[in-house]
Amino acid sequence: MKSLNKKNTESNLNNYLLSRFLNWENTNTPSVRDTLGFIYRDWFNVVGNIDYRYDSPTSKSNEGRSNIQDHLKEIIAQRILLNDFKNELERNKDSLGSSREMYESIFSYFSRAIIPLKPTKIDLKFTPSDSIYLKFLLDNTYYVRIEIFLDDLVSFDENIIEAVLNIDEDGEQIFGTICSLSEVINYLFQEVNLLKLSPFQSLDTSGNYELQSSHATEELDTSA
Amino acid sequence: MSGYPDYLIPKQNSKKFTPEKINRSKVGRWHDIKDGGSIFGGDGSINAYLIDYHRFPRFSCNLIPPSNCKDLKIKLLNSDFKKPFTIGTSPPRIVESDFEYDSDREVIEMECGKIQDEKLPYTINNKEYVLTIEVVHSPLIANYSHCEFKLTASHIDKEVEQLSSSRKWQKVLITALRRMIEKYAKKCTDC
Repeated sequence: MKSLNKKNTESNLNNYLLSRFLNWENTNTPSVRDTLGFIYRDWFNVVGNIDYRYDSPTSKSNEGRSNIQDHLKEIIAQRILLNDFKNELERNKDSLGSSREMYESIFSYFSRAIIPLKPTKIDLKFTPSDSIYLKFLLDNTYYVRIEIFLDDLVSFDENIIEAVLNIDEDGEQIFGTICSLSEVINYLFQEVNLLKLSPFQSLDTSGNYELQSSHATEELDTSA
Repeated sequence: MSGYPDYLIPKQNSKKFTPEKINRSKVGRWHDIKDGGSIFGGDGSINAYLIDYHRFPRFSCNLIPPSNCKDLKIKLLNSDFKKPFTIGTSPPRIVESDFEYDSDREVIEMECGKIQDEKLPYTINNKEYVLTIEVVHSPLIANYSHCEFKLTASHIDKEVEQLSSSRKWQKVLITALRRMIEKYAKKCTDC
């Protein structure tokens, strides 16, 4: 049996899945979310074939599968977020005016910061109250809501912009505060991502956690 | 078009709803789908982010009963009828040209008992506080069932008179209220 180069296989898979995803986006399917099941089915089919060719899954192939799954989750999250953002830009095109640049800056920041967390059930909206609202689910457990009010902002600075952060578990709020956008992201990485969430825990703003920029988000096109 | 509902017109001898009656009832609130789209999420959830924070802190609503969801689609065309009603004064005469039914309105409802029992947590400068809601009867000239929220924030230990996005703690309260609505509001099934 011809041996497979793991790295190339992952790369091919990612390219294949991404192309499937982009092809789908060019069709008339109404919502990105509608394809999630389809995409996952595709992915499982491909991974299933690899396992078959290896004959018996090894820890190495499992590791590769996990990496691919993580990457796929990021791609899907990125596309949903981008899709929501484009929809909201279009829906509010007559009222955004000079705020548009601020919305784009915040979206760009969200993309770089949130996508590596592999969120699901993403919902990004511009509210009638001149704020940007992002809701998503982490680890199938924590509902995270972030809202940024834009009315008194003149330029984007993640260390100055205030964001309201709420985290729910099983419908109950377990954390709620207001802090800078960068502190929100630090908090999510330190606490939620490590599943060490404590009710109303103080934020550690020491900045020990560096954000990991996802290569999947570097080429985001934010034009409407 | 049918006539204006008689039970919405306050009578001269009308009395204010008691806290007990309010606690046993629901409140209904309308949302115009032209304001950002439907308030109903596809999975039965409530898109509370669509609620403009300028609706807070009072969050004008109708007590159900005596009102019902259909009443919340009534749009009064005469602004005089939206003024507060003083108990003991003469009731208004409302004709069909004074109102219309607005089909763009969606209606959500919440059980008063649940939202009045809820203590909404919020944090400011790493200190924990709670926001509480009381539903109070506030009849209008053409809407006897009209009620409002009375919010008390524990960090100021008094009623919240206004909410804007210019103050940090007020932003936190706005999101706490939206979250509460997401938790308790349901699509009205009667209209």
